[in-house]
Amino acid sequence: MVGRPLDTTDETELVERAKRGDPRAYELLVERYQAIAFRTAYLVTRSAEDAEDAAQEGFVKAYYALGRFRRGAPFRPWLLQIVANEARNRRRSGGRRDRLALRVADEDVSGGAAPSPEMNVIASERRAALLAAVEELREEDQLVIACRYFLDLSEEETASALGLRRGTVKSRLSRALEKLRSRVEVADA
Amino acid sequence: MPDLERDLRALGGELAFPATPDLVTAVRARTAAPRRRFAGAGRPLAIVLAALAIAVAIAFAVPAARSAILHAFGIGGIRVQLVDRLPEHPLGRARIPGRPTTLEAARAAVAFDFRVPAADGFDDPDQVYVGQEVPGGVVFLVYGPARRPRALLTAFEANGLQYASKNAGRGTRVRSVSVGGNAGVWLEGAPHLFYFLDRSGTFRGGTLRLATNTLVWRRGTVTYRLEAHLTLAEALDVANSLH
Repeated sequence: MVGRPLDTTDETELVERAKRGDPRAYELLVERYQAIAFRTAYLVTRSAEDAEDAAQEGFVKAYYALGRFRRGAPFRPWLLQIVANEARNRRRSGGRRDRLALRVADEDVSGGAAPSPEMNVIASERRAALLAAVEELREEDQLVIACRYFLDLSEEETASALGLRRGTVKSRLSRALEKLRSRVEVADA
Repeated sequence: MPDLERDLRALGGELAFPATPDLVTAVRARTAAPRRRFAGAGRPLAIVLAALAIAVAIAFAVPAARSAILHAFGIGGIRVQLVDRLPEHPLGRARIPGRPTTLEAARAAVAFDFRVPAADGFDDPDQVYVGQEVPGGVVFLVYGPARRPRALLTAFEANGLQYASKNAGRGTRVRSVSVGGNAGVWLEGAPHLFYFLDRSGTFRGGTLRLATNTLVWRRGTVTYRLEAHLTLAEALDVANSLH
């Protein structure tokens, strides 16, 4: 998983050092979380360029807001909330949006060199069907699925990133999973 | 249904996300200012580009310029400086400095070897100027009419000068980029102007104004600056075509 949360003690110490003006401390936080921040922004904007801008802006805004950050609180959900806000702002004015894609290597399973190509094909087809089913979901459902499962964010982080209450995340997840289950099962049948 | 959730997690691992860009450099530059100056303000930072020739903070001794340098960082010989306030434009209306000449004459007139892009539309500049604002000279390759060029490529050696560019208006986007393996910086946003300063911080004339995006990079000892109505990808294509 990208950007796994740091050990709480380490993270609190880095945040406190950054608050005191230690530039290296904040760099370490950026290094650690830039991938998850970028990917979160990308899921919202579906544009690599907009996602980079949103993530950069989010890190800068978070830095200047560190004074309001509660000591000992988890940094990552707070950061992702700021980044996702930036991403949503850019998305509203946005143009073309990418579709989510699977890595080419995973689609290229026809070579027969793999130990069990048939299994790979089945798995690959299921993944493709699942991805197609996700893409068919309403956007608000797509986003909770993507944050919760594709990025492996916690429910709390998903709620922060999407600006929702945790209960709303739970209910949307439940609804989205139900839709996916029915669609994938139809596809499998 | 655990299987579905498990599959969704696995799917996440198979997704072809775009490569994560390096955010550290840009964030470092933009966060090195004292925090309280910006708390809650979110106002755009002004950005000044200068060649990395001088470490002493005498920058912006331009008339009427008293900007505090909040932070500076170097990218491949380029110095990007964040200032709290832009210097005043010292010269008023812009113009391309120097005298029009030919590519051959320009090569003979400057103290360094410069390259010309091979990219379509950039291999044959409409006009060539040589300026003497800085030691060793400056070459300006102009594409389109001189009064309203569509693109300008500037080449100079960074020794002995500061080279400054400012960007005003809404939030400036700064991105560190790789130009054929060399570090560069891409500035995108509002109209901006640039000017040369020598080692003493004296303005050396030759100001030109265009309202476009800018790519700055260094190749060998020569600093190039491409300003044009291009996207980053297009600008990189031009920059990588130098030969």
